[in-house]
Amino acid sequence: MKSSLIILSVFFSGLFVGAMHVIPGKSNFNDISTFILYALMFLVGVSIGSDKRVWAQFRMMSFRVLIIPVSAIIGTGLGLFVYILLFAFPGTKDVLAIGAGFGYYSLSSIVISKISGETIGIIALLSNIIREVGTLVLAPVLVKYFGKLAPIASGGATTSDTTLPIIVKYSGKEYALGAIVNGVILTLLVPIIIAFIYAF
Amino acid sequence: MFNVIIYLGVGILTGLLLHKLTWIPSILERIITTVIYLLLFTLGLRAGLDRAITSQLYTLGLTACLISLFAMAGSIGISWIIYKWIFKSKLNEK
Repeated sequence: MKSSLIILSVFFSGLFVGAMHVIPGKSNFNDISTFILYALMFLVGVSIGSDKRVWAQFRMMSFRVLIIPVSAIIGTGLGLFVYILLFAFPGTKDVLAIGAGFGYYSLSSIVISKISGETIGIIALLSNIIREVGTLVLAPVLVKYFGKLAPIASGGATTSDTTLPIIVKYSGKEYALGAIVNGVILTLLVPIIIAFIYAF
Repeated sequence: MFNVIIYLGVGILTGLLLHKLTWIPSILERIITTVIYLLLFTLGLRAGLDRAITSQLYTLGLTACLISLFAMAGSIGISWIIYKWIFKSKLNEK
């Protein structure tokens, strides 16, 4: 919750500075930000590869645990298809990419804005923050009416860090491992799925 | 944009090779956070420079709300079915 507030204030202070028109032009940013994005992807990779907990998690999980991230992906896809049928904006690929952020708002919005432009990047940022904050706020209600897997499915990539405490509290400790595996797998898949969506 | 995946993959391999250096994750965490703030600031900056974006922020926010609503509803629905199904099969085992 705190980190999403920081992220939003960083973004909005950029927006404010930009809207003041104190900085001339905007084309200069593109080359630098592409370079920084690649450097960031490399660093994210190194942090995943060098993190022992991630690989320990993969070794100890049983095949059944995978059903949670798979159902989160399928469910998100189905929800997004209904959205695409009902609304014309934004385009199909953009909607799918925004949804494929699975709550991982920082990385997904940066990658998406790079590929599809700032407008879609901003929707991705807001939409994925809403997914995280919404899961935090609704967790008790979700468990009550839709079962103990519901906040894990709703939390997406955030269930291995920011939403983990609330999931443990309302779904129970026995769901902690499932939540961590779900979050780690979706976090890893976010940039890959987004790149695939725009590639075809 | 497959470059994104290639850089990620090279990073993961590098990380695997360096996994014995236990100080790496904590330092990386800080660098990554800083870089993400930097990129989000420039995203805001570029958006702020663009009148077409600043004039329709409200619409963009509403669109974002709707997309997350549908994405969350879909995944909650599927997880509900699976939860019931697992719960049922567990009852049958007893």
